Amino acid sequence: VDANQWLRTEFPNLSHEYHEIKSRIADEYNCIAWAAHDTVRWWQPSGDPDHYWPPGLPFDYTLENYTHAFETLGYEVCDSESFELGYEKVAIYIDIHGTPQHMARQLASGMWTSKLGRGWDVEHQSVHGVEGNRYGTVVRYMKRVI
Amino acid sequence: MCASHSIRHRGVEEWIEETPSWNVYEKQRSDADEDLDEEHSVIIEFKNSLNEYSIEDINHEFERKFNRLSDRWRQETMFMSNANDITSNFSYYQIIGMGPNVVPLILRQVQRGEGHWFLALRALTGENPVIAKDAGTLAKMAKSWLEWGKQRGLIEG
Repeated sequence: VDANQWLRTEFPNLSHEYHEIKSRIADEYNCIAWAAHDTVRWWQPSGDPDHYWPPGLPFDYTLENYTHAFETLGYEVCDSESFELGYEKVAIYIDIHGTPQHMARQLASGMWTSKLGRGWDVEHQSVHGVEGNRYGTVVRYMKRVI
Repeated sequence: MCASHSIRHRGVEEWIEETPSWNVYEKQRSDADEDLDEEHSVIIEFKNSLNEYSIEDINHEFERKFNRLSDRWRQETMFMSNANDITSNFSYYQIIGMGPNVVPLILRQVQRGEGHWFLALRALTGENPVIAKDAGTLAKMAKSWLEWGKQRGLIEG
């Protein structure tokens, strides 16, 4: 299967905007790790020794827990996805059950970057490019000074 | 067992009457032989069919099954960001169900940099060679498992 075609099938919103695969398939890290600039660990609040989660935080899959995880990296909650010079933003996506399923990070170009599961890092035009059935919708933005 | 083997006391006439004729005996023996021949032919057929498959063939089929299942697992879990969902996959369960002989094949995948095999390795071997400070870092966990496999001759160095 052609990788781009596969992407557009899984994430139909990408069909309507610029996107580009930027890496090989990588199992070492997931989208949460990628949003946190970590490419050697799989971030997940599972309590499983195979996964990393910032020390001191609980092992539960809530929006607040993911928010706290990024607060440990200097991020704070903000209102919008719009690009702000001097800041780096991340977005948290939740599914219909309220469980965080994905995170994306804004690049200096204003575009967004997502690690898609165990697959590729993909640059996409808007934060909404990977919204849909699989990852749900963005419900929280956070930013930090760079 | 024929009736003539009975040990109870009885008259000769009774004995003759109850004893099957030679013809009947022959017929019974012949039927039994036919049954045996049939069993033998099934056994011989089975042995011949086994001879058609070498140990290498059986190993290849085992490996083909593993590759088929791991490909399907990879495809079905490609975009999942939750590792619990990745390892709660039917193909993954089937791979664990293949038993300890699948460990060398899994270690080869680990050697190629594939993740999410550590749960299966722990389940299949009952061991965990990863030291606590390396937990969560795929490259280090892989290194520990590969070292473990090499020490046991399960993969080449």
